[in-house]
Formats: sequence, C-alpha cells, structure tokens
Amino acid sequence: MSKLTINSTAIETAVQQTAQSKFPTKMSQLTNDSGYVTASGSVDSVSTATNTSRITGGSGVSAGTYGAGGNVTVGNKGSGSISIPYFTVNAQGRVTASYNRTLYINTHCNDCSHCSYTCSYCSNCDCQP
Amino acid sequence: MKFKLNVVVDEKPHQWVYDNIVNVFYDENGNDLLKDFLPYKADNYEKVIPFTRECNDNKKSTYLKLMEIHLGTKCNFNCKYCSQTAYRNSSYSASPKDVDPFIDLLKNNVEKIDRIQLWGGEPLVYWKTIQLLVPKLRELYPNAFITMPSNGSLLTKDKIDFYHKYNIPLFISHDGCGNEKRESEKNQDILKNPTVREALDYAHEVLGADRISINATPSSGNTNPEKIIKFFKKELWDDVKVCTHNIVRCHNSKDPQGVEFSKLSEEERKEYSDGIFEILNNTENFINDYSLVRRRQNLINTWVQHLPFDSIIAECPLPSPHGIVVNLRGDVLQCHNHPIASKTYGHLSDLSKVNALGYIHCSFKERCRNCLVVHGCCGGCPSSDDKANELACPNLYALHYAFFKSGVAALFGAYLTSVEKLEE
Repeated sequence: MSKLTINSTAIETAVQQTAQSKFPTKMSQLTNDSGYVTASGSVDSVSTATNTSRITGGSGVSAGTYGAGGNVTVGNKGSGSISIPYFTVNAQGRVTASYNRTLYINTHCNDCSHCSYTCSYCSNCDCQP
Repeated sequence: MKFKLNVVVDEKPHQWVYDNIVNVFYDENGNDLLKDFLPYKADNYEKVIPFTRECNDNKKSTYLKLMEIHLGTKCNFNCKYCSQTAYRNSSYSASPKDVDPFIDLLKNNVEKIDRIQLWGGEPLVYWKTIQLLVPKLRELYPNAFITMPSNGSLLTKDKIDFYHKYNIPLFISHDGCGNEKRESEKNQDILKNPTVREALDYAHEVLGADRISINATPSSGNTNPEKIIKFFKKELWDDVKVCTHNIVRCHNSKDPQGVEFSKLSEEERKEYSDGIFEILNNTENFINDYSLVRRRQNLINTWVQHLPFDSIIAECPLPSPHGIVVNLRGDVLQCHNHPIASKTYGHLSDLSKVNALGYIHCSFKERCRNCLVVHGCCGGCPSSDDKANELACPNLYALHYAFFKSGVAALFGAYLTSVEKLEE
C-alpha cells in the first residue's frame, strides 16, 4: 500500500489530505447553523452566588415540554414514597436518558446529615439507586 | 431571594425563576414547574426557630437520632487539612476504665439511639477501649447503626472480624489518586501496606462491598471526582463504593494550616463542580458515588415538597434535640471538630439541662439567605467560627451548585447554563 503513489504522493497521504481538507473532523470546525446553545463561558461561576445582575425581562420564549409531568406514582400524601422520572441531559438540553427512581418523602434532610457515614446503610431510609 | 435560571430544554432557551425562600421553581408565565407534585407539599413541616451560638431553646432529647462518641484526638496520621489540628493535645482521651461508667450513663439517661458514630482522632488508636465499648453499645442498642470513620492504617483481619461480629460497616478515608496530603514519611499510603490490603480484601469478602465505604476529601490538585472513583475501582474492586462529596473546607479560621490547605482555585472548584454534575448526569456512572445520589435526592425532596427556607435546621442535627456529641466522661461537646473543654455544654447525666449551644443558624447569614443552593448546603457547618464558615463557602458552593444543576436536569430535563440574582 505504501508503495502506491499518485503524482509521486503516497496514496495513504493523498487520502488523508483529501479527507482533512474536505470534511471537518473537529468540533471547532463544525458550523452551528441551528444555533444550539453550547456549554461555553456562559455557564455560571461556581465560586459563590454573589455575582449578580438584574434581569430586565423574560426571553419571550414560552416554556416547552419538560419531564416532570408524567409517570408520577401516587403514594402517601406528605410522606412515603413516589416514583418519579429522572432525566439526564446534554448541554443542548436534550434528554439523553430517562429512568424512574423512587423518591422517599420525608421531612427536611437533616435527619440524614453526615450521610457519608450512614448512607446506604441507614435503616431509616433507602437511598440506593 | 429570586434567581433567574437560564436553562435549555430540547435545544430551546428558557428563563425560569427560582425562589429560595419558598423553594419553588416558576416558568416564564409564573406557573409552578412542580405543580404535578403539589400533593406532596409539606403542609406540616416543622418550622425552625433560628438559633444563635448563645441562644438555642432546643434541649437534648433522650431519643437521639445521632450520637457521636468522641474518643479523643489521638491520631497516628497528620493530614494537612485535618479539622482537629489545633486541638490535638487539648481534648479528653478515652481509656478502657471509662467504658462501664459511660454505659451506665447511657442506660440511665438515653432511651433510644438510631445512629452512633465513634470519632477520633483515629478511632482505631483507641482499640482497647473500642473492644470493651462496642459490645456493650450493641447490647444496649441492638438496632443502632454504628460506624467508625477511620484512616484504615491499623486494620487487620482480626479487626475486620470484630467489625463483622458487631455489624459495623467499614468506613475508610483515602483520597485516591491525590492522597499525598494524608501521607508523610511515617504514614505511607495504606493501600501499599500489605497488612492493610489483606484486611481490606478480607473485608470485601466478609462484609461485602455494600458494607465498605471509601471516603475521599477532594483538595487542591485532586478535584476530579471521576478520577478518584476510577482510582479505587482499579486499585481495589470494581464494585467499590466511593464518596467524593466531602470537599475540603476550612473548619477553624485560627488554624493557619487548615486555612491554607482548604484553599482551591476557581479552576479547581469548576473542575470539581462539573465533575460531580457529570457523575450524577450519567446513567452509566451515577451508582459509583451513592453519597452524591443521596444528596441530590435530598435536595429534590425539598423541591418536590416545597419545603421553605424556615424549615432548614443545619447541615447536621447537632443544633437540634436529637443530635449530640459526647466524650466518654459524658461531657456534651459542641462538635467532634472542636472537642475541647471550652466548647462543652453540659453532661449526659441530665440532658434536660443541656441546650444545644455553640451553633449559628443560616438565617443569620446574609449570604445564606441570598444563596441559590442553601437548601442543599443548609448553611455549612453550624459549629465552625464565622470566618471559617465564610472561607468554606466557595468550596461548598461548587459542590451544591452541581447538585442544583443536576437536580434541575433530573426533574425537568433541562440544562442549566447560568444563574442571575433578581432584585427583590
């Protein structure tokens, strides 16, 4: 293969050069013609919540569909457990996976404090995925 | 405080509003985004009366959901970020002779305990005491959940048999791929100690993976949680359970070493926060760190129930009637991180006279009242001094921002791109 040439250029090299010149192979070379939001520098700082700015108005975009509406298994009011859908999303907000998990309803989480030392073993609740 | 949440749902940008006082999310039209869960709104939540370090009406109950037993601050390690460095030689150290009087105190004064934690220093340094204490605790509270956070360096197969006999899960501190801050010339990496490795493998066999927890403290130079988890999967077992939520933080602003080694750069905090989000937002990996899953679930729980700001007690139950720290003399201490006489608030022999003093409620801190993640963080350590609490805030924010962002993704299928505060 390496001995085959076109105009004194090895075929392997010619193919690679052609592919590289005609087709983008890096994310940075792709055109974002749909205006997808990317996880760029607009992601909020994680330092503190003190960097503030005033909102001047809504985007005018109505809320789209979102996940929490369906698949709620009714349990005991105020306590007990419910099965709720959980989602994973990408930076375009697309749902990449969904699954149901049980959410154990209790009072505020302080009972489960120090959970690094009790979680998964705690007899008071079941937090296993 | 209200916040504008810039989110993306199905490739479309949205601007929602989150109100941390009522703990509710709204869409652009002001509709409650969790209206479908409103049957679970907590009508009868327990409203917390804010407490200060000097004034807290909560008296200790005879029903304790958590009892921390502080054995002493003796430790064979000298971790750089240790929260007890300043108190190494000033706390009471337990000895075997304390056990019987202590058990008598419990018999006469405490009706029920759900969870017991044996704290050091390094608890296994107090092995002779533990050998006497634990069987009696188990006899007195057969269903209590007993744990001992340990550096693991003194583990042997015999000790694992003891853990097994008395139904104690194994809890080991190790920082994975960035363990240097726990090591010194005297204290090598425990995973390189053949005796400890043998004991750990034996524990895996006898206790099972679900009863072993490796707890890392991500710190400067070691803020990638996925790397930490993968380290243990490679070095130990594929089913190892690792906790990465315990981000390093300052507990004592007067301890220069503690302050120095709790620092993280902005880049490190971002790496940590993004890493936590990735783990939680990935169905392949999320089971690797149950402590993260659990904490996000707790946060979502507060959202679904619309538990408001005034339901927040603290990060731990110690300011409440149902949490307590004691030494083996029966002294009630403020916190296992500050186990000294000047921070002692009564005695086990008369819990009705012991107020939960020394803690500050998050409602007294403006930055907490105005914080996006207060329902996850709960104000940080209520026992740390004010300056330490402030120094700890950025690291905790990085952690809890990841829970918030991941919670929004999990519940709404939305990707949170940024947050802005709205003027009241």
